[in-house]
Amino acid sequence: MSDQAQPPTGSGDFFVLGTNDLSVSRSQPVQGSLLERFVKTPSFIISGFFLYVLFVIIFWAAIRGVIPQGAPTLVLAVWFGVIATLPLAIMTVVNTVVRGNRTKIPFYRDLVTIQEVIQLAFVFLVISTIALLIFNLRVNLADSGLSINFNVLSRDFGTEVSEGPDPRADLQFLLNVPVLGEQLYSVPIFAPDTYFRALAVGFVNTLRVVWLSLISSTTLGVLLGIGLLSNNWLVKNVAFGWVEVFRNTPLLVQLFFMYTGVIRLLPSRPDDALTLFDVAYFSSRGFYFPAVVYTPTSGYFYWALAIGFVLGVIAWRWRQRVNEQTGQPANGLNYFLSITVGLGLVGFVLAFVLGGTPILFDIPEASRFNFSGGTALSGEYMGLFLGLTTYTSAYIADIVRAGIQSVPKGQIEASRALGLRNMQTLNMIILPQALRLAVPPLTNQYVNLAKNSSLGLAIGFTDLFSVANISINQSGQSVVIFVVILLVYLAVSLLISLVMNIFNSTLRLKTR
Amino acid sequence: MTDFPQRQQDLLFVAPKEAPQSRKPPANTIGVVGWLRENLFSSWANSIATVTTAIVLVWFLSTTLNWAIFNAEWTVVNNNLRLLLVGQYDQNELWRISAIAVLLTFLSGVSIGFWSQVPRPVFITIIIVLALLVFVPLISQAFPPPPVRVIASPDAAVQPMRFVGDEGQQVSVTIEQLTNRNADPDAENFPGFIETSPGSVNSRTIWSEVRQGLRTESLDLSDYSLNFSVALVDAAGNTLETLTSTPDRPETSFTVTLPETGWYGIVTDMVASETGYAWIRLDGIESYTTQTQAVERRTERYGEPIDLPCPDGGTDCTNEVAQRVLRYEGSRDLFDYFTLQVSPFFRAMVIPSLVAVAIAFVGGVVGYFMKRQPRERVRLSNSIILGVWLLLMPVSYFLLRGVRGDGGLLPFVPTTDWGGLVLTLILTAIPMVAAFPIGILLALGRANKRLVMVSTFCTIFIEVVRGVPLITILFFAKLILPFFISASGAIELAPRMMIGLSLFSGAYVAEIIRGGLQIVPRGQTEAAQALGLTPAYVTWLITMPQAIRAVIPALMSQVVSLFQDTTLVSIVGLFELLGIVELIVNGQQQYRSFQREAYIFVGLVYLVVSLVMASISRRLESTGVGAARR
Amino acid sequence: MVELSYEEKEKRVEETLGDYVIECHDVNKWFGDFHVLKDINVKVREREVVVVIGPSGSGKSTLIRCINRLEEHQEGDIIVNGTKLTNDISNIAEIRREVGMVFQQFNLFPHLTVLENITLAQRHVRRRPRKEAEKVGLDLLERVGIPEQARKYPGQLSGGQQQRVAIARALAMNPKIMLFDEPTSALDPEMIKEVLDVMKELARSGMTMMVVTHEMGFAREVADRIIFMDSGRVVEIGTPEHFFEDPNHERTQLFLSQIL
Repeated sequence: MSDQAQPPTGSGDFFVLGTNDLSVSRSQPVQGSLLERFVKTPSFIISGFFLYVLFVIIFWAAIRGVIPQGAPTLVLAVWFGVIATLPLAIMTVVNTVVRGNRTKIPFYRDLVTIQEVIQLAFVFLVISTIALLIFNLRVNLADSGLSINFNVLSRDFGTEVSEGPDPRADLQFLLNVPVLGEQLYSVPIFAPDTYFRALAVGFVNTLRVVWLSLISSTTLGVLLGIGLLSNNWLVKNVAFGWVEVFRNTPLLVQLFFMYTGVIRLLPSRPDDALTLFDVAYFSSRGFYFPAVVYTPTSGYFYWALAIGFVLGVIAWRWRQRVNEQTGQPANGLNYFLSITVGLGLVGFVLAFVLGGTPILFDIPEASRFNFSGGTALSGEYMGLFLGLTTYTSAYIADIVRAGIQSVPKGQIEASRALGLRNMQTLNMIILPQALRLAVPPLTNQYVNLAKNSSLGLAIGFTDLFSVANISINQSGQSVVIFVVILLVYLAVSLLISLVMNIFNSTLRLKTR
Repeated sequence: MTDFPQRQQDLLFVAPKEAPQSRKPPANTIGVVGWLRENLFSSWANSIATVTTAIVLVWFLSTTLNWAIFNAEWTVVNNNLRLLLVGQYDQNELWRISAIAVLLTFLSGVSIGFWSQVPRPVFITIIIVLALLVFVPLISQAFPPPPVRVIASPDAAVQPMRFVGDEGQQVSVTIEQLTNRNADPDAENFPGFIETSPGSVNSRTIWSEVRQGLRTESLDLSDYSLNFSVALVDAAGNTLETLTSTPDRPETSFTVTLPETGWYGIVTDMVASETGYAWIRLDGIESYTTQTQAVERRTERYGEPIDLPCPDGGTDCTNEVAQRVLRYEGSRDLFDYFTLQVSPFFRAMVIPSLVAVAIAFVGGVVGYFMKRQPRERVRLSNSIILGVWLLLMPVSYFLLRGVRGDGGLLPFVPTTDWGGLVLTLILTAIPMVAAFPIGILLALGRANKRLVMVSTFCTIFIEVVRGVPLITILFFAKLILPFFISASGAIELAPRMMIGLSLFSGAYVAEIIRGGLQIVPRGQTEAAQALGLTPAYVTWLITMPQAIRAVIPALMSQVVSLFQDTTLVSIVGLFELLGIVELIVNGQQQYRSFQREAYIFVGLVYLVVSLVMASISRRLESTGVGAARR
Repeated sequence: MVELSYEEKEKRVEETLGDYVIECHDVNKWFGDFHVLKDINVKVREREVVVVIGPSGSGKSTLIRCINRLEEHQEGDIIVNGTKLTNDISNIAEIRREVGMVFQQFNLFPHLTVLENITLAQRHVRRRPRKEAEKVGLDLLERVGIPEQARKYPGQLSGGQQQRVAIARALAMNPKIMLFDEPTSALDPEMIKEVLDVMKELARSGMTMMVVTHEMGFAREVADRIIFMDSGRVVEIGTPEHFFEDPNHERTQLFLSQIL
């Protein structure tokens, strides 16, 4: 071994590092002040840019004075684009000059400059195009005697809406959502006083049909998905046939078939209606079934049940912790059920003692011309509900199947080898892994379900979109109404995605 | 065999020279029994599931088939095939659609022959379908047409009826007395047609009144005093044969062999103020449709329809043995199902199907020989076929639309007249082709991490379009889009819907392609960059082809979903395959109560086309482009 | 073995090899907060074969990826063939044209045939006509020993064959410098030799090569110099004899004692 301590560094062909400590590292040098760096972050630039564009839009009337009057919309749009992208353009030029001085690269060959210019051109084009379209829209609407007027929402709606909550009361009506249609036929037909309220009624109706279809299609879909994986040849193929048929025919055809081919062909007269033990009735007007009636003592029962539920959940959690710490069996579900049911029973007895039964059913009665009592889901509701359920369940079944199939066989074999029982294997090994894969597409399906509910229009269900359609026909304010429903549907889609994403992230934590 | 000492025989072993035959597994694990055990009755729970499912399935299938065969009225489909296929497209210009169809079939044949082989199952399916199309109408002609009945009652005069007959055809006329027994509502029905010409009084209403009367016992048919005669006349008005029904001899009949091809009629001389009811039954007469084309063909063969003298001295009272004025009553038998419901459909489909298969076959042969050429030629053919496919769409659109003003050979057919399956296919094909570049650009924009503004904009666009229902976008295209361009909103509805559908599918295609771009390994881009390719080339030659190949199944299912989504334009007011059903039902009163049949037919069309597309996609995935290359 | 002083060795290198074609001056690079390359000073001469070795995660791959701008360095200068690597797109394009690269995972284009893989860049970067590009491609396939595979797709070839195609693809651009990023690491043992043989032949033909590898035999046999890196630093640069027989730095000694 050479005893040469210091390596020669001469021309750089040979080299030995002088130090033995290799771990020394330094952090990346930062350029510019904190403020300067903050100003250069993409999120700051984008939000600042949007704020500025908003500013330009608000003061456009004033800015327009600069531009020659009577210019065609194209010229106006270009002007708008120029003004809206001015700060970006200035930033780009300054950056380019500064950078050019530092790096000495000609600007037309500098990668960063080229990207900035492409971006600027893109933004300019997009903004000008949007501006052109909107200017055109305003001019053309004005030419055809229409104008955009957001006040339309507070104008009188004036048409009757056939189902949904009664909006003539104050805004609180939105809280009295007829979840299953309790008050549906107590207020047979009514006319909302403003467009806003009419749209709100439609929105509530949309939610009513969406949440129930969501539950039913998930239940049916999971059953079908399990059926698809069954080792029973007949069950598997029936499930397969169901999935293929309902996935490969358009939803609208299914809706028309359900509505005109099934619901409308039911007997229309109440006394001819199909009935289940004279408690529930199916007729072409709708599905009539018993309503739960609130009695003076209902409160005791429901509160007791609610408290029992909360305590039950707490007990479940506690048992899980005990299980982790001591290894005793958790039996969480047993604890939960016994506490919830027990407290519910206590509440029931208490209510009974204090003043009569807390649960009463109002059973519908069929007379020759009408039903009385009970609660109902309209024929249109049923048609939409059935169509959405069959259609979505087919997709969900496939997602469930794919999710379960994605768990490798080795996982099941490994858990069997460890001595886990079938239910334990399903709960602890298969489901957590399958769900992780199934939740994102399931989210998509739920969003699709919410969006597809707008097809209720085709069979006369008064959902948000139908009311919007009536509103547009009545007021001619297509742009305003369109913007409103666009925002509502976007909000619903985002909300569903958000809830499912939260669910998904808890799943991910659990599986880790 | 080697002999071992006795005490060693337990420990040592030599296999015999002749190995014993391998035995079969136990009988209950193989064959039909084994299959059943394994797949249907492997455990108690399984057996219960099997039995329950089987019961439900049998109930469902029997109810459905019973309805479909014995009760459903498929004539709503058979009589409106043209509307269902091409909508209200100008009848004189239908050759354009045929021309496009021929081109399309030929090109498909060439492509299949050039790029792949057709698997045997496809051939077998085609042959079976063709055989059915040919033989069902042939066989069903061997069965006699169902009888046509007109009621003779004391209250209403029997209208004369006219029908067409060929020389040598045997026609029989029977008078059957209606008695308490054979008119009993619980008794066996009379399968066959009953005259139901529009108007308050027709044979069907009288018949149901009679049965209602018998049910409530307000009517007694034991007293028969009708006295009338029925005459068969030819086009010139000569009586060929006469029947007389008297109270003594109410039931009578005759059979006539028609002397020549032409129109014939049935005339009665009813004497009023008498009691009793009787059927006048006509056997051996074909019912016909009153569609314009059918009427033309009939007039050509049989001459102008004859007018028969009215019983009350008026004019224009003659009924026809046309399906418009006939209604099938009673439970139909299987023969009548095939003769009346299935065979007209098959008869209409057989020639087009044969022609299509023949053209596709010729195309396939051409494609096959194009494949067997030297490498340079094959490369050229490849680009030619691709080019023709690309050209096909604008050419078809131009051909279908024609030229405004004096179009000469191609007069203008506005898109509002397009409809049926053709419109559905157009609304699928054009937006899908348009969605492709839109989707690619949006995907590239969104995936670009360096151009933040571009990716933000693309993301917003994609998410907004995907976040709202398609129907809102179609309404946008219908109500707001025209005002972006001109005050009059002069663009036709169909192109506007195409724009809406393109934007919608574009956003979805973008997400699919972005998914594909994420699958392409980073090393591919790096290798391409290291070779000195510019970013545009890297995308165009390396990443994009791989990304698209990876997502072909997803793109195909997007095509299927777009194909199904086109139904929504029916809400906006176009008469595509679903919309045309409403048009048929609203325009032709007699089909009002048969909407269900029409929707089922339309649903089946969607089902079959979607399944075919799905199977093509599966095939592409397993054997098609690039599968072997990975 | 004759002990040469560093001055003598340098003189020998100077006499047998050409000018510097790759120069890294105080190159620093960070991935986020992680300091991957620390004050790298490396120079490579024309016709020289330099092998970079070091434990995994030492930054050797990052270093050669910086040389053709697959990674961007944040500090210091990299000069390739007299051209400085900056954001100047024409410089980047020029350097990538002159520097060929072979990857660990081959990175052949799976949707193109072997021949198309080789002709693609020739046609679109060098602008050669198809006929000429195909001729170059077939000659190169001959040179790497697999002329019969030209019409196949990469997925149909063995790993060793794929890597030879990748070498041919890089050579088709007539590069002045070849970079190899662990070209044999993803190969089955029996295929390593066929790739190394191609590389040796290439080295003998006078190609400037910078090779990241774990193949010590190859390094000893072919390399003119060996660069040893650890923790993002160049620890030692020396001739193979010196490096393997008589390493200077403690870390190098430790490394060699572990692998030999």
